[in-house]
Amino acid sequence: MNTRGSTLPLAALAAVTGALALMFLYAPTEGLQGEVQRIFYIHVPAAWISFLAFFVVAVASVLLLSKRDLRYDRIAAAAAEAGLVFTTIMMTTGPIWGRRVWGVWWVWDARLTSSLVLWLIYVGYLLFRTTTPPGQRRARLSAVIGIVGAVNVPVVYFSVFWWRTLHPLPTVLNPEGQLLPAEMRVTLYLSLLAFLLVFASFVVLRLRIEDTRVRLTALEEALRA
Amino acid sequence: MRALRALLWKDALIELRSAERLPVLALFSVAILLTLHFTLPPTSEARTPAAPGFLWAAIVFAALLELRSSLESERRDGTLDGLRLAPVDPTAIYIGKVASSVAVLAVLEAALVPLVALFFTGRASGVAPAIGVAVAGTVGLVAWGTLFAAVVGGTRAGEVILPVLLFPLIVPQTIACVRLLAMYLTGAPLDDPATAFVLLAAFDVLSLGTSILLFDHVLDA
Repeated sequence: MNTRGSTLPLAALAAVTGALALMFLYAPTEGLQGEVQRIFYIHVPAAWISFLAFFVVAVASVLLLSKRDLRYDRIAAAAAEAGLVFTTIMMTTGPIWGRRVWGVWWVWDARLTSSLVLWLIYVGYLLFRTTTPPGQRRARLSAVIGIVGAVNVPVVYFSVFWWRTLHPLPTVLNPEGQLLPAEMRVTLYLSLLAFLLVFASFVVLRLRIEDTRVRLTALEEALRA
Repeated sequence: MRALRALLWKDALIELRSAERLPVLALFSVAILLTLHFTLPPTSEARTPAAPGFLWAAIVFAALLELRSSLESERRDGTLDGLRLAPVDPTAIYIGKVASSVAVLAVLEAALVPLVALFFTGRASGVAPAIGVAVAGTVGLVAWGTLFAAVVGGTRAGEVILPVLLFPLIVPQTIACVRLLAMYLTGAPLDDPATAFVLLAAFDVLSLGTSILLFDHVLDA
């Protein structure tokens, strides 16, 4: 087996183990919410990675349209697939937490709604890719979907924010200074690093599969010619 | 500009001679309103407050049908290929499609809004501005919709993917439009109608602008 490129997944595994240990053994139990607050260390990094993934999709899509190199299409697809995983994690951990803390599974506030929109756009994007034959055409059309989605998710956020919102305002990147105790912050950051490494591993591995597939197709064609 | 006028004339002629789209859309929207009406209990107090949302739902579904048939006829008759070969700016093709779809839906809305007033709210006042609001919302809806209908048009699962992509994107138009429709049709209070109008216009400009920038790539693909 080719072991090249397995550093990233191994680092991800180590970070995930460390993050899990901090989450359950080191981080203090939150006074008001109790144990359920620990879901924060999964939910928040998953949300950040979802947005990062979508940003990668958008940038790769713009590059594809301007440079027409299909490698950008493969990057966008890999980021979208990994992004859907993290968006789904965010969308499942959120309601579990919300049920205990707010008393309801779901509210139609700005962040929840824009997250649902993000999830639907990822699904639509990947659905489109799986039902369209690969090539320049699919690459360019999915790039259009990726760009429109990236333009629109913040717009949806603000359009709902224009109403009232129940989701707490940022506690970590709060402009009025740090609200989170140091132990919680350390746990969050390690968890974020773990998620980031898992995401990067997914993208890199996915990309390697696709690159290999492209090489294989080229070889097959050369053989036939 | 001349190309745009020719494209609009073409769509208007097709519609006038075949009466293909409007009667179908009208029947379809009435069927939707009928179904939505019976989702409420017989003596429900919610009939009036629900009316603007019902109206918008009927418009969105009709728009979906219109977007598909508008591009489908082009594809079937090979017009799209002809247009791509002709020295026509892709922007003109896009604006032509958007304008003709908005025109068809505007005629539909001019009939649908009074119907909703008659059957749901029982108020005649505010019908005219409500038609205007509905048309303004339709612009943004059709702007994204035309772009995506062109993207998914050739796909096997296009019928499913179009709403999956389009409906989340039009959340802003939905919010702004339904609140303004509620203000005109039911007299529901709205804190700041001016902001709602500005937002609605901003969403229209954003969706049109982004789509114009990207439509070129869609035709090219």
